[in-house]
Amino acid sequence: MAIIERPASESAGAVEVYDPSVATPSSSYGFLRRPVESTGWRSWAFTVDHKKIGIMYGVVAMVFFIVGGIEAGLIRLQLAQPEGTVLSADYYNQMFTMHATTMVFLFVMPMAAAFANYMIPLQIGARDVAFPRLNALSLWVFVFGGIFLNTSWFLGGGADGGWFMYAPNSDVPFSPSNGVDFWALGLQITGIASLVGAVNLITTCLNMRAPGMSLMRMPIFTWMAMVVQFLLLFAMPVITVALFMLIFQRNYDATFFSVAEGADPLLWQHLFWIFGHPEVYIIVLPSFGIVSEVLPVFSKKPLFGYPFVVFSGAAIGFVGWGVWAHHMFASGLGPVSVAVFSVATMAIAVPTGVKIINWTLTMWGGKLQFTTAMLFAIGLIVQFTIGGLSGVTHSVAPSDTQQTDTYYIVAHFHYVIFGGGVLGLFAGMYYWWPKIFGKCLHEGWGKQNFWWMIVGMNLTFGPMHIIGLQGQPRRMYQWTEFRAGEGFFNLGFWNMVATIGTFVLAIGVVFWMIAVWVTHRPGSKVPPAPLDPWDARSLEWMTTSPPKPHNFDRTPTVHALDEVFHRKYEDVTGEDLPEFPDPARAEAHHNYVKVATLEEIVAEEERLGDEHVHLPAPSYWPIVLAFSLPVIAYGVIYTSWLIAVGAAIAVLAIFGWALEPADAEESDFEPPSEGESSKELAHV
Amino acid sequence: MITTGSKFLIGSAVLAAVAAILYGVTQDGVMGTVGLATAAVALTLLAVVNTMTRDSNVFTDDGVPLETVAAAQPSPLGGIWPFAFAASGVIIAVGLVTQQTIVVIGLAALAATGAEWIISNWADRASADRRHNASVRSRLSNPLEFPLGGAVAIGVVIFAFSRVMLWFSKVNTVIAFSILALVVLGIAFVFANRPSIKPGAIGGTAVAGAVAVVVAGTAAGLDGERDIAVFETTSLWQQEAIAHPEEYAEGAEEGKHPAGFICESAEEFPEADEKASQTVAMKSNHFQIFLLEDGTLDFDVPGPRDEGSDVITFQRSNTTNIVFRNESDEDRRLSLDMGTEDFESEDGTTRIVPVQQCTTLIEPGAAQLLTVTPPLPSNVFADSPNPNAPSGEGGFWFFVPGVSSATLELVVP
Amino acid sequence: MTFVPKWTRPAAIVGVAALAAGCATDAPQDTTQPAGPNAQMIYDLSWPIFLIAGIVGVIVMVAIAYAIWKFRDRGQPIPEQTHGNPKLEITLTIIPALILIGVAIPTVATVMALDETDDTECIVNVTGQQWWWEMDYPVQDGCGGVSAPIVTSGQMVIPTETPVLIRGTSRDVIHSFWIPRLNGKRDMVPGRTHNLRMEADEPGIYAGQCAEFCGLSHANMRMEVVAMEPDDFEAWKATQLSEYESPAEGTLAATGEQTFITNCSRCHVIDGLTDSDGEPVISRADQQVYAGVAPNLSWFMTRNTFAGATWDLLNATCRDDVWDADPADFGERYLEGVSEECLNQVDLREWLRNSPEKKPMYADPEQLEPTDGLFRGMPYLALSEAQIDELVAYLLERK
Repeated sequence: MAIIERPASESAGAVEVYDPSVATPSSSYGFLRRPVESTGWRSWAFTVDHKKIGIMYGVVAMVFFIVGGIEAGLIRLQLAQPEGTVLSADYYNQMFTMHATTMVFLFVMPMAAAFANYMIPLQIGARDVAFPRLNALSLWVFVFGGIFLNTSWFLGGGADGGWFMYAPNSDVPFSPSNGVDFWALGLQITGIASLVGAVNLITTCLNMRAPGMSLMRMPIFTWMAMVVQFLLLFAMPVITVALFMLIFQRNYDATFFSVAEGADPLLWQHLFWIFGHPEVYIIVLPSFGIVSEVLPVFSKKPLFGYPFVVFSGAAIGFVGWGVWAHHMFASGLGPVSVAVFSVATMAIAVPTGVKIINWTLTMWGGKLQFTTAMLFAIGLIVQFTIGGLSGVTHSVAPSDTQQTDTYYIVAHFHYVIFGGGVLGLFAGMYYWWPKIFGKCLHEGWGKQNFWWMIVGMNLTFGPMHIIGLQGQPRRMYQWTEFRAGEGFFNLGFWNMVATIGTFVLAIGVVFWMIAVWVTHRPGSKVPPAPLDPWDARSLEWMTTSPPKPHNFDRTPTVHALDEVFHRKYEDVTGEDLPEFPDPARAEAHHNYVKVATLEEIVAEEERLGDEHVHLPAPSYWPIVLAFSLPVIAYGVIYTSWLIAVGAAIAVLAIFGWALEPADAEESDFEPPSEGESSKELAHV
Repeated sequence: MITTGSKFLIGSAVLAAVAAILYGVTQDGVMGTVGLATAAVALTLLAVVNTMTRDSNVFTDDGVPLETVAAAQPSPLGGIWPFAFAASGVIIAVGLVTQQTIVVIGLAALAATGAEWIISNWADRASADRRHNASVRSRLSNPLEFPLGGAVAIGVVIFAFSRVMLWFSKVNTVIAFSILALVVLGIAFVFANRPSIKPGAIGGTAVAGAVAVVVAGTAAGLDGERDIAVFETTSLWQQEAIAHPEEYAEGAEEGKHPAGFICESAEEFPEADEKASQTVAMKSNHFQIFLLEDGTLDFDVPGPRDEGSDVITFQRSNTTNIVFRNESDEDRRLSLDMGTEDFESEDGTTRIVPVQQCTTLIEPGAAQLLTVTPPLPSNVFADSPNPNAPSGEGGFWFFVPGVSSATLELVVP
Repeated sequence: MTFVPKWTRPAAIVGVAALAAGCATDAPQDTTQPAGPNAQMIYDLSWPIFLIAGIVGVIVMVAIAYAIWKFRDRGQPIPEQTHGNPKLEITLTIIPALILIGVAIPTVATVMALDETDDTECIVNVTGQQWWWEMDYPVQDGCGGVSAPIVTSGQMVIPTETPVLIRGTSRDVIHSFWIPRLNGKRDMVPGRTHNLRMEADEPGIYAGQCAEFCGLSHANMRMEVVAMEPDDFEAWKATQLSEYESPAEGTLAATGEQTFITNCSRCHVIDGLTDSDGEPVISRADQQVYAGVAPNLSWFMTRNTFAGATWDLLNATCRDDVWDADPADFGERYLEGVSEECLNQVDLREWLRNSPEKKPMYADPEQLEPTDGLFRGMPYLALSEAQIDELVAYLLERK
């Protein structure tokens, strides 16, 4: 809380880069100095650097991916055989609730946020996001929310109402443990993270693009991520309202969902799915963006129909708001609603199909290189196509009344979310790893990772189509031999196959960890990656790997979509080439000649680097403010004085934050010591 | 970092706290403890403020500018805060002789103006540079001023507006609100069409509007709210009649309400029937019971129903929604008699009372919802004659008070 | 680099699942073996859509596989940097749109047709509660005439080739009524009544399962529709409406009647049961269980499942006799009820011994604070082995 700053003195001299993470303040007043550490845990905990925040998002998300995966493994072990006894009914119900909640809210969403955080500023040529401290707040709110949610395991059990938490089953008489309270409050907290992040990234995309980067020259990943932020901005308030209702219903005797008081339980379903359906697109669109980056790079061709992909993404974003009731075809809405939503759901298949067509046509006529990232991208197209087509089969409402709440739906949405979401995230990891960490992930282990995962996921989720059509409902902690049937389609065999598939999938994930270990272990033989390992096309590659704290030495000026490709290659038409003596043929022929390497381009940028770069300073307050939220939430559940404590921390943090200037004043920092150039320091 | 003044105040605060604890442990009576604890809290607050402002002396641990600036101390600026502080004192004094709320407002004003005074005073002497002084002042106080001031301003406007709305009658509220909305829309329209309009004009209009609302709100608040009657339900009247028969009978004698159980009465009960909403929200596939013009009850249930069937069946312990539609030409209510139960009075005696539920009295052509959850099967009362059944049969019966022919048997398995 | 398009495999699995759906299997909840007009209507709509989806899927997969093989990096020059082909894209957008319009029209028509319930001739109220289904037949002229309400649970008996109207609701949380071979599922929502038409072509037992997650024992909430010839149905109704007869004095069953009154009748109704003074025994389940009702056991042994249709009342041999009976004799076999030889003694006795251990329920008296002391499910009754013998003997006469 640097309350008193010294009166502004004369300019501190010709300092080129003020990077607070490497410079030390000479004087700072008040209670607290600004954090200045450039190494150690403090440099991460108090950072406002979008790249560090992105990495932390990714790490935490992967931890939750493993937690959710263990939950999934337990579920499949329980269902491997009839009358399974691995889990009790109560634990099973908690397990599937928390598996879905963890995977959706604590893995896929933050993993997408990790990429968005890291890549958007780099892709649009900015030095950081629009509100760096808010960015740190998003991260820590999410981390504390996720931890809070999972502490329920040790405090009487997790939520047991399913991730959809239908009323009135979520009310206290039906779910007496505190699990649902943890769930509702935990999601409320992570929802704050999503909302803050959405505001931040939308502002960044709209206001901080490099000169020359019109919206239609924005890299496709940034586009899709921006659509997602808009979806979040409109979807999170709905679930916030619903969760507040649930929290008040359970803790403060409200009667929003009490049937005896005249409530209609369908209210919750509508609120939940108005949020829940856009949520599906929130989950898959970032991956679509990643794949739309990866495919052109490894096909050596621009994305086929870039405007179509952009507008279909936006169209999905819009139409996604008009289809929520297809989750409720069996809820008794009446035939007119059902028919309308049925047709609307079919309509959304069209823009989704456009994407698949465009990806295929991007590869068509290209020069395909099957790196691990590319394999994951192709895997996404194939798996998502299957998920999309099974989706069409239950956009047909009468058909859906047979399939909904059976394993067929489980199969469908895992092909969509795992096939369409998670595979894309892995593609992104392999693709951007050299950018983020300076080394390519080990390709050999990476391919193992891919094949085991793709085979595992098909073994796991493929049989669920059969199990579902054979009439096995979801969320049953046991199935019985008597209703399993016989013959080729019997439930026993296919349940066992699905369980085996889960472990194949798990081995695939282990191979990913091995790839990371092999790449980064001390004494690893994997060499540092070149600046341009993939012959990439977009702006994030036009800097060092990993990027410097200030991203670009000089704010780049953009002339085209795929800026980096056009800086590296020149189109030499055939006339200039000896092998085309016939001018007519020669004109139609394009020959791309490499005129510069990225190393040369980056060196040039460095030479012309900006004289004066002022970066946002680290701050204590985001993490302190984030910490207050779970304190308040524990207070809601256990004792109200904790609410007061949490609120006091929140107020303190907000005022500390408000009192602290966004940028450290220059006079807070000493110039780097004699003889050292600040740029060299920035490389540290 | 911790200045001399702060050390003194922190020490005093700790001393006061220790004294409060000692006093509380050793002495009887709370006043001493309260006094010392208050002193401890106040001293802590002062210590915090003092530490933050570092003895109101910017140079305490910043030696560099000391020599250069000390001589150039500017004279303090004039300010409104001493006056405002004194005015707050006057408000408290006024409150003490009139109303407690005003005291609270005065105390809040005293705290706020006092804080502003302290900060301004400190900022005035922060350095030789006026501009810098102004900026440190606003950095310290704006984070407090803007949210609190904004909240107070919005709160006052909303409160005033609510007084105005409550002053109008129920119908006029709607009209007034519509007119107001049109005015706002119209002004916005004018502004939107003139992009060159001065910002001052927009701000001035907004302020004028806010002042108008506050003035109107004050006037309306002084005049008082319209009469707002508390709605009471039919079941409340029924319970009242069962639980307190004597008082209920007295009330009837005084003419406050008709005598007897509401569910057996064709008369209008003032608080239950007058204010009832005469419309029904649509429930899916509800049961319907009609009072026909010929004075009989007819019913319609989801699904096919043969004309021959003359009883209606509900499930036990199941919440069932019935829409009563009055197709006769008089105000009527639908009642359901579900046998009797033992009622234990406050004096310990047990009486047998009827179990009844009913709708409010509704106009011809209107509809009203009745939600019932029969806890017992109807055959329990098969052998006990039901006074509301034709020729004293047993079981559960729907009936319409005042129309003896309107009965319908309810079977609950 | 060799590249084997392994994704043909999942595609094949889905394709087989979709195309071979009509092939015979024996799972009793198979959604692809309709046995009544409503399920048939759904199936007739579904399978062509599965087929279309399969064909589209195959086309996409082949295109991708071809692209992967044909355009792999063989050292060719960097391809032309084309940014798309609007005509091609618009065409490829319109084609799926047209296919979907083709799907939408029959979908809407079927949605409307499935909602039709005006032709039904028999009403059955179906009510879900944690974790069993109650079926009751209100007084009506339908169903061949029902003069007094019939209440049963777990198994819903209907006449064949008669359209039945199911009026469903719930007493606690949302449940979903689903007999896959007869119709799609429909949620049963407390405070609302949802209609569903159901008709079975052939006599037999059609299995179902609660399909909306309804709490702890959701997996143990099953139900069956028992369809029989209208004549057999009349006989079934007659049994259900017949007078209660006390067991002969001095028998084990007569002792069992008293045991039942002491231990069970707080919640469970047996119509016509009177205590030793001749007073009718009135159950007050609303003061014991949260949903307010426990299964009516008047004609317990005419059903062949218990505890939410989770366990069979018939032992394995007798059960197979009924399930696999020829449609012509099915009604007769079912109406025989449960005899002592056929009784599944093991499960029934385990249930009576300690029901919450057998089926997860909220029945711990110490933990009923959230429900104001009301159970959700059947509590542990601490019955002695002798009492269990008496109860089994008594219950065996309930047919």
